[in-house]
Amino acid sequence: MSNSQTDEAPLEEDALGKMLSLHLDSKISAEQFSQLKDSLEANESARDFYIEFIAVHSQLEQIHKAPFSNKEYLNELLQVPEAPTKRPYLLMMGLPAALLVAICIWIGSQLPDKPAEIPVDYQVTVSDTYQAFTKHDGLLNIGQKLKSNTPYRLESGQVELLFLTGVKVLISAPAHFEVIGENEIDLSAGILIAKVTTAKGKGFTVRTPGGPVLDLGTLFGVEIESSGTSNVQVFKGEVELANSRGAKKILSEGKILRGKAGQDQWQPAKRLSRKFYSVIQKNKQALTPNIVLVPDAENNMFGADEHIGKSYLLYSPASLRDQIVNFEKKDQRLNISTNFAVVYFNETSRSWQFLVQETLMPFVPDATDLLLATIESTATNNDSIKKTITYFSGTRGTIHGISYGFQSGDIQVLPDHFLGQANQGDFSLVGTFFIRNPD
Amino acid sequence: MSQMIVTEELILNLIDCQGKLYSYVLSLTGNRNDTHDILQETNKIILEKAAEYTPGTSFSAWASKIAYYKVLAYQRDAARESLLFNVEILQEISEKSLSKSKQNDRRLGSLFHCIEQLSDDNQKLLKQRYEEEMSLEEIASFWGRTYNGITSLLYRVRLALIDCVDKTLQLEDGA
Repeated sequence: MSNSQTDEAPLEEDALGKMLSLHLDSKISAEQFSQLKDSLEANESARDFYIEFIAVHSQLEQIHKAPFSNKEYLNELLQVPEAPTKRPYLLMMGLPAALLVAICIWIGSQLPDKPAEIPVDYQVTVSDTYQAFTKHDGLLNIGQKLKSNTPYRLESGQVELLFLTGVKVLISAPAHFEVIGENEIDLSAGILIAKVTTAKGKGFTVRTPGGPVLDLGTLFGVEIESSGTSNVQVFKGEVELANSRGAKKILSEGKILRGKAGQDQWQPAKRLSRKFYSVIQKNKQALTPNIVLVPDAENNMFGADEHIGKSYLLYSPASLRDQIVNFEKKDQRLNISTNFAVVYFNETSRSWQFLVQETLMPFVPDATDLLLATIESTATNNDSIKKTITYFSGTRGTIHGISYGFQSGDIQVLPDHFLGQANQGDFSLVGTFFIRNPD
Repeated sequence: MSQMIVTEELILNLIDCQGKLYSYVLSLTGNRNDTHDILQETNKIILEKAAEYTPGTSFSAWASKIAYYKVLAYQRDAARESLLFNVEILQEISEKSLSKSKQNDRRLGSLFHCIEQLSDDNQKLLKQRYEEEMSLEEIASFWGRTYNGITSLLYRVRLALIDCVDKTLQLEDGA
């Protein structure tokens, strides 16, 4: 817990709030209660603050407890009218016994012979939109509740949905989707990114033509192509994929699987569509601000052919090209990576170097530069150079003034590889993303 | 119990507005236990008076009115010194609270977002307090802090969330 939060708070400044807190936590003394009461009676702004405080307190209770609406439970009641099963979490949430008893009496008296399926509302709310236009329901607006078990055809824009379980889902047009459960959505076309950060959200499921995708982690994306092929990529945590026979696969951080419609199996894939990553890029602030996407292009990097010793994979958001004055335009034709490079530290001159026109040239690192891997080049007996790459995932620190380390990702350096071919000394970069360490 | 005419719509409405009703009654009593009792009584009356509800009109407004009368009855029976508000102030709190509850869903959405902005420790603190229902003493012991320290921290986290929700809504409204 942060040390900046001291135990001794300035009670004089916010005594009302402190007393309200004590009151809500049932820890207020008689004297404090009397003070609180006097203060609320005398001061209108204190009463306004009180209302605000109570509202956030009760909503925190709602968020951290089971949702009120529960289709399975209501249907269970409809089918077993004689006695409600004990569901402490519902009672905890204040759904009182009187309501349950009354529902049972109503069911018993009005539907004794034929259990009926009642319409349900999974309470999925539109929490953000960008020109989100649907075929039958027109523009979707913030705050609007989506109809459950009703197909939506998103024709343009994008929409962010909030489930009562705390799961946030971003859907980009064109897309066909349907909310089919409190923690479940069906996607038959389009791009969907799910962010699951609450305990109740775990198990969030996206039904796809390739099979169900069940969340075991925190951030993943799904893309359904027009052919019905389903693609899934995990950015944080894990997901479980199943086919129609129930065979399951766990997909871990950074990995991609692709399931062709009708083929009933998930296969590894290299990347999803450009559009998919552009949706991530546009919404990265809301999804995971520290994500860095690798462009869908040849990412080639020059290396010093005969170098023995350490070199590093550098990510430079400010663009290395801007720092190299004499960088030749012709190199752009070679699809040289704009933001990634292999760099060297010269122990003699104590400077960082970068290969330009076959020559190592010094450059000044930017504060935002980041080292992602170390490349150890060693001479072998047969005159070749062996390169061992160690990624800095899950670490952090500084090497000669440049920060190193990242949280996770799927980037990989291919040594002795350039423009899709074997090429001694140079490098290519593959993969789709990495996530920077939080500050 | 008198004869009930309860429709599917009424049941769904009733379940749907439990969160709002809870917030509303809690604002009037300031006491969690009393709120649960009053809410239970309110639900019972709603079901008994189901025939008086006009479908198509605001269910939560109708239910809130019933809840308000239940709170008044509770005020009448309770010891005066245990009440947070007199009847005049109760009326004012009721009006303001109902006005605020119109934004309940939006505020709930923003609150989710704001919780995500909190540090992992503060998110855990909220979870311990609201989901796991640990006592403040247990939470203080878990974090190795004093009881006063943990109550202060909990207060500051709630305050930060209020601030964040307000700012988020203002931003959405283009203010």
